[in-house]
Amino acid sequence: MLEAWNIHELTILTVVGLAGLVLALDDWRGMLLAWALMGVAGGVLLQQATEAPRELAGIQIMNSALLALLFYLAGRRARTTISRTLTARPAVHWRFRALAAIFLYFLARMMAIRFPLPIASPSLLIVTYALIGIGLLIATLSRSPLKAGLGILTMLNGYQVFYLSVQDSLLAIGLMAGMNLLVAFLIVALTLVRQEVSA
Amino acid sequence: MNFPLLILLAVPFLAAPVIYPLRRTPLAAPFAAAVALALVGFLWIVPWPLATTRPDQATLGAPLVLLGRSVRLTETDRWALSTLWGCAALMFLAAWPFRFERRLYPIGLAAGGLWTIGLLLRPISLGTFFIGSAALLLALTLLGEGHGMEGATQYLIAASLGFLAWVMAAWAAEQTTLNPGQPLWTTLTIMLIEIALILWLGVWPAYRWVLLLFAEGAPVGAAFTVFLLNYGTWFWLLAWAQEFPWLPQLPGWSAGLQAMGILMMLSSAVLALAERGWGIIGGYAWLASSGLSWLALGLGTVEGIHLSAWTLWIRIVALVGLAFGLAAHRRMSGSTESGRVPLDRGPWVIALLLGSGMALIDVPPFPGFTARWALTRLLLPSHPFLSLAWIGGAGLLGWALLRELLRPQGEILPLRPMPRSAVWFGIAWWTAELLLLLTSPWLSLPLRSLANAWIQLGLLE
Repeated sequence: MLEAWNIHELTILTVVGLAGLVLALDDWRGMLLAWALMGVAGGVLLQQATEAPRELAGIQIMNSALLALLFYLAGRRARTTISRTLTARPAVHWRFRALAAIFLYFLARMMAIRFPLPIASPSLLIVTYALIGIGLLIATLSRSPLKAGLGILTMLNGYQVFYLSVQDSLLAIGLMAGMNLLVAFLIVALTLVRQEVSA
Repeated sequence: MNFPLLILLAVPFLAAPVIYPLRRTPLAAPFAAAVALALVGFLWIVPWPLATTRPDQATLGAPLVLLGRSVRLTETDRWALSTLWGCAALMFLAAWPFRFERRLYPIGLAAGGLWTIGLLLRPISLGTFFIGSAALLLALTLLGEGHGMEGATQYLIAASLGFLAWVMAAWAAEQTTLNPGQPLWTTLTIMLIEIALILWLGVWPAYRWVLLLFAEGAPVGAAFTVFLLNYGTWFWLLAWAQEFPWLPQLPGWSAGLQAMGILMMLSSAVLALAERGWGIIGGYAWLASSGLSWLALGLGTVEGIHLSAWTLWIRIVALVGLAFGLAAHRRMSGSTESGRVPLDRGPWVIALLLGSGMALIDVPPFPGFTARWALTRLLLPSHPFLSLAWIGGAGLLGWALLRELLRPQGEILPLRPMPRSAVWFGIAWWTAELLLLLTSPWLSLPLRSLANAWIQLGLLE
């Protein structure tokens, strides 16, 4: 029991830690890798949870991997013109961003205890709160559309962890995945158009 | 099978891929406008038979069942969709002379189509996804050659966050219905709806994206975005109130809408003083003018609701004028920098920018003044300081506009000649404003049914 709890806790820490890396890293390839791994870890977390169907966790993992590949291809294409906008650094130093991620993790733990939702598991709520908080920070602090987009998708991923565990309708779940794809497509469009303008 | 409804839903999506390859040609704008107007005509020409699915709600034709979910059109929806598509047609025509607005036509049609599905689809929780995807898709209309992408990125962040808030609110509202008597769900629902409104309407402190859109984005695309988010949300909120009748009865509902409206009006007036540029001042004027509509709606009185519905008519002409003026200014100066076109080089463009700005802040004799005056009279006895504050707010915005007009030109860089379309559009716009002033009470009579839909919900105090 204790071992199972530890593995679950470790997965939560991995997901939040990887989201923190997306926030702290400046190199676009590094943050993309961290984001893809975060999606995979999120899928593993869902697989461990009893509330969400296991098949959906697999789809979540595949979704993250495919989107990461799409972003990588867009980033590579953008790099060949002008990479300045891809690597535009946020005004806040990475150490403060990493500290903010740790703070948000503890805040999420407190919120899950202070504001529990009757039908959602506390461990999934911690991940949801933490990812929404970190995603918001990534989106608001970053200057490049790619990183801002990864922040938006981190928020959506956080919400999806919670949504998959409480929503029974497959249509709603499919539409949520569709929204992820739409956001990803818009981020790619913004990244590439921005390059056109910079060029 | 309700085929007319199916056609209504499908036409925008069928037309968008046809218009996409034509977007660089002068055909795209009239084609898109014709499709939008055809949809309005279709809504009124088809003899929809009345069907009653719920004792309190009659639908036009039988509801359409798609993947087990119902899509239904009511009399209120007919007015809402007519307003949305009619205004969209005006926007498409305003974008006609400008090549950098080419993304607006196909994306505008697709976004309008998604919004239509979202409005008509039940349950609301599924409609949210369509409304959200329409809002997100609008980010593409803001991208034009040579325009900064900062606004589009900020808009994408606000729209995604707002979408998340709507989805969570829909889920919480369903939980409220399933678990009556638990205050947690009602509190959560109202809180999330207010967060979503703050993000989508650009209420302080989440207002910056609106200004960036007008200052940097493709101007008509920016106007289309704020129009669809504002008007669409007005109708979308009505759909929520009809689906969850307990919602308008909550104490936070009216108070939230009122606070939002006041914040929009007063914060824009104060913040505009620190800014320069036609686009940014125009953005603040838009925020102030839409704040008045939301405040009037939040009052929850018959007069307030009628006033709010009435402002839907009069705002759109001013917004279209502002968008055209900004686009013409952008074409002449060739950049997003403001204040580069002197009055003598582009008199019609500057007159449009000034006139539309004044129309948005309800300066007399523009028709919006009647709305502001009526609201002031309505609120003066109970809230005298507030009434004075928003009259003063209009004054501050007027000062910001005047200061922009009188701003000394620095080094005058080479300008392109004023587009000829600015003259024709300017004449048409000023005539439309005059006609609106004379006829708006009669023109807005049909919007009574929209106001009545709110009134029937029993939210009156």
